[in-house]
Amino acid sequence: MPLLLVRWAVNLFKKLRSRLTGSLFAGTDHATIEHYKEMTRSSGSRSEDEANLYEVVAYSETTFTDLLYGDSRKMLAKVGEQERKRRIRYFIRYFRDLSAQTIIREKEYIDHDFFDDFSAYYVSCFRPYGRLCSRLHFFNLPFTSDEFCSLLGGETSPITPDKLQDHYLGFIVVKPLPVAVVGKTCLRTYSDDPVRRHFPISRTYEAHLFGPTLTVDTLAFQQQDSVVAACASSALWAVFQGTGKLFHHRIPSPVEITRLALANPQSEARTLPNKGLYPAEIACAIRGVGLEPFPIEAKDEYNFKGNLYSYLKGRIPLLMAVSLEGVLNDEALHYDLGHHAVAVTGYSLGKAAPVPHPETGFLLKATRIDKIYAHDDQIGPHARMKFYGDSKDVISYDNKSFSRPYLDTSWLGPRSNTKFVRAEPLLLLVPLYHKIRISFDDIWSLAVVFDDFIEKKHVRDLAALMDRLQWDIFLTTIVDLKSEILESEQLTASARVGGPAYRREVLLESMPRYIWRAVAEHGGQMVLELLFDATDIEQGPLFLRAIEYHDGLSTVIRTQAKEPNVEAGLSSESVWRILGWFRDQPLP
Amino acid sequence: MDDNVREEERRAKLRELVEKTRQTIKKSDVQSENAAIVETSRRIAAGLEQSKNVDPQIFKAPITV
Repeated sequence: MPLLLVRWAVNLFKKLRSRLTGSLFAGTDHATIEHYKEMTRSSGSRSEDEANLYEVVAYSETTFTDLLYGDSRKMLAKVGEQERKRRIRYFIRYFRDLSAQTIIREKEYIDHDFFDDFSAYYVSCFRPYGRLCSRLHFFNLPFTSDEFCSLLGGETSPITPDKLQDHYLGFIVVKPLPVAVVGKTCLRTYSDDPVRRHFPISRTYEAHLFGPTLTVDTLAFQQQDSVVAACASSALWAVFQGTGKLFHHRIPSPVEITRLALANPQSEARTLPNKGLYPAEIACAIRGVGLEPFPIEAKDEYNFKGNLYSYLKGRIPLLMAVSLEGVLNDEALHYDLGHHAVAVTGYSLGKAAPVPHPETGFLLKATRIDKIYAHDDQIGPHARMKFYGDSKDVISYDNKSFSRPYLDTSWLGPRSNTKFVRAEPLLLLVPLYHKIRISFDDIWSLAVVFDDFIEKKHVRDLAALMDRLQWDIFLTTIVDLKSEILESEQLTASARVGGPAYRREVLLESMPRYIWRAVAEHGGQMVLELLFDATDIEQGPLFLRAIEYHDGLSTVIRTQAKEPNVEAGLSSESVWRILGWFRDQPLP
Repeated sequence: MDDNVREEERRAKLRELVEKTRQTIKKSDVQSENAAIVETSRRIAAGLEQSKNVDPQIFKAPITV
């Protein structure tokens, strides 16, 4: 009889344990469950209702994997496992770099974007897919459920809303789908090397966590579900996160983007499920939000980097179409993987010095780029793509030859003998406000000839500037420009002739909303900058004014431009649009 | 030192630089320099036209991966 009682008690305990943990861990092994229980930082102080709303767990790779994929494995244990592994590998490395220590899981979360996708497609499936997501918040601070519970209750707690904010790494929305579970993801960018890594397109996202409002500066990412959105729709969604804020347009959900793209009358494919888009359809979606798609073909590394940098620094994310190739262990052999689209979010200025332009020696800061960062929906947010020096010789449709650079990616090839997967950039699509009509190439060409004038007319030698000027060319707004001038120490009273009056003159000058800046630097200091009207027409005056930081350089240029023989020889050239302005400035 | 004095000293140095520049211009072959700049301008303009063209075939390849 006592033996029967013991057996009954053991069975009862097993049933209870299964009920408590089964919903999350169906399909996972016992060791994982034990590990999870050990890592869960729960306590008896929370009510059962509270426990249904959130949980606080210590971050570990296993715990994170379970929270991200536990429910999806329950739907399809084996299908999509390769993809889950590939994605989790990237996220685990990302969280290792960010030193994640604690996760708070909001168990039920309504995500606006998934809600749209759900109502457009999943709700009409026979299988009852869920409409509620969960959301994982990450912190690089250890704390327990008790401590978070005390914070919400207004009791004494070692954590405070400010402390949570200081250690907040961002969030991932987990969609209730079989494989593509990664929904809206806002994670802090790498911040350990701000001089080299740049993410100019970041904006502030807010997350409300049962009271405390947490913010993270980044650009949102999400995975394609291959149903309502393929890679191009996901990349566009990320791009619109940036342009929506910058140009004040509504940010459509992935399914709305797919519909906008396929509103193109020449589209032949069905809208849903969607298996991909043509670049013309992507352009159609960009027009659908009220912007103009500006296509740039990637023709050589120099021009590609210049374009990419100039718009990114202007806080405009770009859509990049690439051709993917798997390179086999014997590097001479490779195989085609198809065309893919990513949203470019940042760059690394890893090279110590710019690469001189082959014909003129012009030094463009953008050529210091050694890596770019992109939201690659097959990899993860801010995935690294590295220029590794190799390029592909291409003959264009108009019989011109050029070399396209290759980018190394974090992709894993489908064949086991794949050494790495490389991307050949084909096209950049820049979504622009319709009034931005002047391109990087237009400004670059003027700056190159102006720099040539400085070299050939001995300007630099006379101004006692030892090294060749380095040019930083990028798009900006009048607000950003004048804010920077207001904080600039290089235009103060002591730094320049007529300091305070000159600074006031620049700040009070009426300028267009969008401006191209070509900033000349010497020894890391700005010495001169040329401002161009980005809203003008190509044949128009374009040049607005210069801002002169170096008295000697300005004086020599002004003197040269006033020389009648110089004007006679160059006044019919486009560069005279700049030189004519210097001619009209007074000498000291 | 008074700000006005410092400013006047600076201007004096810059006036010297103006004179030095004028002397350099006199000694230079201005015509050849101009011609070299015009040549650079022509080459850059020709390259610019090429870099602005986009191969229409690129728009016909589906992005599906």
